Amino acid sequence: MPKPPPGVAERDFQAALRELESVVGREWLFATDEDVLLYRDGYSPLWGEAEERLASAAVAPSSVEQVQGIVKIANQYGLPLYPISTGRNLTYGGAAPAYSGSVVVDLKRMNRILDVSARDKTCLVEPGVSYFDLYRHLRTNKIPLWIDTADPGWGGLIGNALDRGGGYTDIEFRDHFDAHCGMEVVLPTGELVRTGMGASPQAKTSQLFKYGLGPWVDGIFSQSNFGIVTKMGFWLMEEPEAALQVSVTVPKRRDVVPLVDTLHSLMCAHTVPSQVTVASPLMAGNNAELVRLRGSGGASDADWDRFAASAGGAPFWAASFVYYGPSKVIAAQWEHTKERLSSIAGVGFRETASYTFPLTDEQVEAVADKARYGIPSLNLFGSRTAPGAPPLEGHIDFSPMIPPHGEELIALSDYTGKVYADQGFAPSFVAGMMFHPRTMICFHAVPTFRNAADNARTRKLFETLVRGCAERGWPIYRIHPVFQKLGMEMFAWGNGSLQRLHETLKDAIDPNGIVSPGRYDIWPRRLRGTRA
Amino acid sequence: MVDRRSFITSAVAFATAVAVGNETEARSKASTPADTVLAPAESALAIVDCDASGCEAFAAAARSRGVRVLEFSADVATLWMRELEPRLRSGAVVIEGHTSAATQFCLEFLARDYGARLVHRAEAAAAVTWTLSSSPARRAALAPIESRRSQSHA
Repeated sequence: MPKPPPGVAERDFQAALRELESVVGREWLFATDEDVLLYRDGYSPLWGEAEERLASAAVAPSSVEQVQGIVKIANQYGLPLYPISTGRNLTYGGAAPAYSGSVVVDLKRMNRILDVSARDKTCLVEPGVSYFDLYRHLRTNKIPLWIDTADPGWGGLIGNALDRGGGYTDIEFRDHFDAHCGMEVVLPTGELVRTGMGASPQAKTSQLFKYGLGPWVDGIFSQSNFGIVTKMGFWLMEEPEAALQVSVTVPKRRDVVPLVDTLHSLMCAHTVPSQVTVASPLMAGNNAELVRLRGSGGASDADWDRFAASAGGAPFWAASFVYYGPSKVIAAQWEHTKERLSSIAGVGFRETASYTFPLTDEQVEAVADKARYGIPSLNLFGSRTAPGAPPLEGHIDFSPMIPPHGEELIALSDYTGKVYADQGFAPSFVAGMMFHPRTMICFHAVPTFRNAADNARTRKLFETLVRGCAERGWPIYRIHPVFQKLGMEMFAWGNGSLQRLHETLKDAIDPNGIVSPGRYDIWPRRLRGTRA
Repeated sequence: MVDRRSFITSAVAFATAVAVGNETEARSKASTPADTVLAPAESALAIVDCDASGCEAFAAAARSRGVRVLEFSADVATLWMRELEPRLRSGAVVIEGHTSAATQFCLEFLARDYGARLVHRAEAAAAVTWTLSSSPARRAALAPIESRRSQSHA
């Protein structure tokens, strides 16, 4: 049987479980090993070790009132709760809690799409609504709106937004937290609050204007543990007339500097609307010379350009992005983009896909890069079986954020390539992804294993990357629960004043410390210092 | 009828081991393919990735048993949304598949929300043959019990 949470007596734990059962019904309380294991993090870097983060039980409410009932019981018994929406982001911990012994509050049964307004281009959903669910709802009902989906698309809108995940379409929608408008939260005391205009009972603008009146508090519910979000509104993208996906290539390594500068400028001017990915196709693979260059940590531009020439003259960098809108406007935007980039010697321009909407079902299936068109997909998992790929037990994401400068992308790639190589790992492929026009997020895959020895190497690699990148000005934007304490240490300006503010809020909002203790290293007073 | 507990101690023990990683151990305890050959029934269907080697033979064998065969190419997401998730939501179903390992991984993970568990898995060259089975007595920890979606408010 799963162990009770630390500090909760077995007898009290069993009493609390019985009370939870009375709230949600017998079918929706899970307290056996077989059931609770479903919430285990299959990619845990602490797999099988005493410190692995494991739940003690799980409970699946179907209504706000049941969530409030669960919170009341948790306060009574000092039971730590860990709410999840769908729990499917495997590279950031999946459904496993940040604090061992927590009771997972699985919100997947709260899966109502409460409202979709084609006129206002908004929706209001519960935490169990997945990208699949909302996409299907829009398509089935022929509502000409797009979601902006994470990739892979099996996660949920609210969970991804609260983790500050991103997508691929227009900037107004692809920053998923920024695209929300209004939320409903069960506070740790059990009180229900609505934010923004939703706090005004008769407001007709709850999903239209974010701020309401007075302080705007929505931000404190993201990457945090100040409440259980039970509803969120989101802005949806009007289906465009057309889309054009393009690729811009440049031949030399240092060409990435003007390439990114220009794309950044075009994004800020709203000429390039979509997420932009800048990657080096040449730097993918395990060619011996490539591995040597990446592991050197400082190969010269000339060395790299010689390598590129030896690879048949393939371009060093490729940027891919999409225009959305009327065909005539797209043509003008693309023409302008080409003019702005034409000063880079050897630049290449290619139209890789074009669409006129709406698409038929057959056309949808033929779209190669579905997430860029608001179509949830599972294609990303295809890499698990790529020919020649080594056995992959799991991986977690290391995701530093850099300015939108090509020289920073080069420096980051040099640094992390050397760290991986020095510690006996194959360097991760690195791409600069401009989810936000003013930054690049550079995801690195860090492998995880099913044995303690290899996972110890993984944790050392991860810690080196986090600390080394922060020292160079590239802190992470999001992090796996096992490393959240480490991550927050990189945000310790002012002798840790930000963490003290978080703790002050925690003590005020969650006096018994029941919601997600330790998430993003925010600990309630009763557990502060234990850092379990 | 299979009750919740007996289901857990058989198929689920295997499925959990796979889901959380001990696949080698799980396979050794799994049923053989002969145990899981589907009978023609309303509750059975087969899915085939047309890009997977051996897909034609698998599809033909399933059809010869009277099992409805659904085909897709590489990305199973649409098939999940249109066919598989509604079937799992509506009641017990047995799904067999011949797909990439990635697709099998995804479907196993998604289907467990509806009480379905992997009861058979065999690797062939660049493809995996598998069976997922749900039980009417089993509700998964992560499962919505029924559709509670509202009508379009457009």
